[in-house]
Amino acid sequence: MSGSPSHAFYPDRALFHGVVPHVMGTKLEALLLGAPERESLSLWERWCAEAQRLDAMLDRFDASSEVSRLNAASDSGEILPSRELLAMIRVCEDFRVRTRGLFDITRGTCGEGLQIGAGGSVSLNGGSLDFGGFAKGYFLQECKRMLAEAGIGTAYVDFGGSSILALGHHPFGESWRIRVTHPFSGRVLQDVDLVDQSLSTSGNRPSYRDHIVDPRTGRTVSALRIVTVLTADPLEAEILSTAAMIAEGEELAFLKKNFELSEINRFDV
Amino acid sequence: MSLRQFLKELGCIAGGTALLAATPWLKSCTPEKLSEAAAGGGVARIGLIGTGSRGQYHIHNLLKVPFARIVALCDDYPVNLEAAAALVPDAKRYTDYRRLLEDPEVDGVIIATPLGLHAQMTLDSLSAGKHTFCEKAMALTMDECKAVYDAYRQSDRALYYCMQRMYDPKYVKAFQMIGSGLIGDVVGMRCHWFRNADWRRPVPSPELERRINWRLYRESSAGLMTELASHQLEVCTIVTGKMPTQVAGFGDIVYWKDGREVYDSVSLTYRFEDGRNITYESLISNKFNGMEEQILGKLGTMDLSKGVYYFEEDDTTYGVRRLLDQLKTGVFAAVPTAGPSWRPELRESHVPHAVMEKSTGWVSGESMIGASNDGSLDIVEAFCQSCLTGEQAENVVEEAYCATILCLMGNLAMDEKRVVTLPDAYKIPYMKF
Repeated sequence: MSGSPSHAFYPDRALFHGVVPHVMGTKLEALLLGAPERESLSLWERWCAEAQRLDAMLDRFDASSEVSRLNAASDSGEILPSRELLAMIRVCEDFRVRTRGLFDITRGTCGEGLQIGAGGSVSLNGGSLDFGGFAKGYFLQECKRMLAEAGIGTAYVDFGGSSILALGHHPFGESWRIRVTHPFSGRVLQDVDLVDQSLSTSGNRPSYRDHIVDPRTGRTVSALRIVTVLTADPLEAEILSTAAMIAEGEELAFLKKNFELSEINRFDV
Repeated sequence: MSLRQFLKELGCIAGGTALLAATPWLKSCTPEKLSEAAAGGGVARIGLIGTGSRGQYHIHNLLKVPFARIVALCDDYPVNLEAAAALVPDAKRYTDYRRLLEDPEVDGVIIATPLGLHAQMTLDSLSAGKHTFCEKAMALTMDECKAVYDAYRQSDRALYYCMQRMYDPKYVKAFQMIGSGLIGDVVGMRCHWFRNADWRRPVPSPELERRINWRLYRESSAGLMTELASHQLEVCTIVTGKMPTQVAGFGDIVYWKDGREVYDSVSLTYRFEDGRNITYESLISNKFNGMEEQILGKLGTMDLSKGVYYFEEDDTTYGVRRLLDQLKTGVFAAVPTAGPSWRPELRESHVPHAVMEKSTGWVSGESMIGASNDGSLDIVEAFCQSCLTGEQAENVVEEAYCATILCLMGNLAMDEKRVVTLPDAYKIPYMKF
């Protein structure tokens, strides 16, 4: 598979299909329904450009990204992010507080988080920024906004198979139905019906564990579990799916109570 | 699907002729040429030397070829000769193959004898002016291979070796798909053939042991390499268009310590000059891994024995692709999520894609005689046509030569526990390195 975006339009269904094989470390794929080809393509091209722009900005493994440059400068004290990045940091800080530190974009601060100064400067407390649990949700939020602006009410956007924005419903059903399966056996854990909603899943697979870090301890989450979060806001879904993976004991109940508009399901497998 | 049907369909598609160019040996047996052979009224008169299990298997196939007639049978083992004669009662019977070769009623000869007899019988058959079809492998030694190859070059008779994968539609199509770049650059090959059986046949009397169980003794057999590996190594030389020049490996009698002389376990690495390798294994005391020929490409893997291929990056399992299919066909159903985000290195299971849309039959590799739909009938039919037209199928002898030389190099490497390099004396112009 090449790395360049591709798309196709099926006029008899007014169906647009676009794929970016590799962006933000995974694959972006979308179906847009009911709009003329030109409008769908125009929107898709803006999405592709936006995904690549955000990737270039947030990828901590890309030495030229803004996040990398800030991380590299964090030892010298306060850093000064761009206005857009600062806005993202503020959103993340809000979620860190509301999740009692289960979600945290800082690494290596042992739960201390970061401080935002009056002039928009940021202190990372010796840590670094990691937008891994944020970027896809943020992008899908942008997609949702642009879809509304374009007047497209039926769409299915899949970012890496784990972050899904589903507007309207399947033309031959009353929802977009998504199946969550057991990572070992393939047994069905849950069928989720989405209408104008987002779904974020997070989990450990047998061959891919220890990729989620508890920001409070720095330890990885090794439990074999799958989390699904169903909510209207793609970014909230994204953040809560990570937080619910990390939550232990009463923390999961706390999350469910504090984000009661979101449906959080966790399967310890 | 038969080869004939496959080639007929190939002729109907755009670019079919170009695809056929990748498998030039099939040009001599196109449906049109086979139909001409059948309609012309000519009959290929076939004499069969060696009427054991494989010889009788060929008889069953020959009886399906409308323009072939078995006119002579030869074996010096009466039991087998009688069994074959029961299938073809009108055929003359010989006990000395030289007498069969003198028979002017015989146009073409099929040799299905132990490996140690292949070279001399083939040389004699060509000398007698007969079109000749010999079981694989070509010969027991590299010198014999070269002698046969040289005789073939001097002869105007058609010569075939029963390398049936060259005529098996699912292999042919896979060769063409690989040639067209489906799996990208070929970067390596892994082949193996595992069985769990002693490779023995019942012997009615002890003095017949070496004749009936000829596969187990060095005087008549080169063991697993020529009997099994030859087919698979040939696949590798066809898909690369090149000949490995070095081999190293180990062979031992691990389990069947019953007086046999050939290895029951072999493990080798063949190396091409460009650095690519063929990893080869065969074992006959465990069949878990079965038979596979995996061609590893930068973009995917072709498993020719199973007739399936896999892509390194495959989007057919993911939700959107399934949704797309649903939307096109008016179906509503649940689609799967990936759990954690999909990443290129995360693939746990690859989705097989069929080489042929229609099944050609699954070949497990367990049969010691031959499987149905494995190309054996098609290659015999092609040979019968050559008996009528004199047309030699391109590359068949050359590929058989290359495969046999590789097998014998492998045995030498294992016997002497050293890296063996292809000697210049056995290089032929066909070989590319």
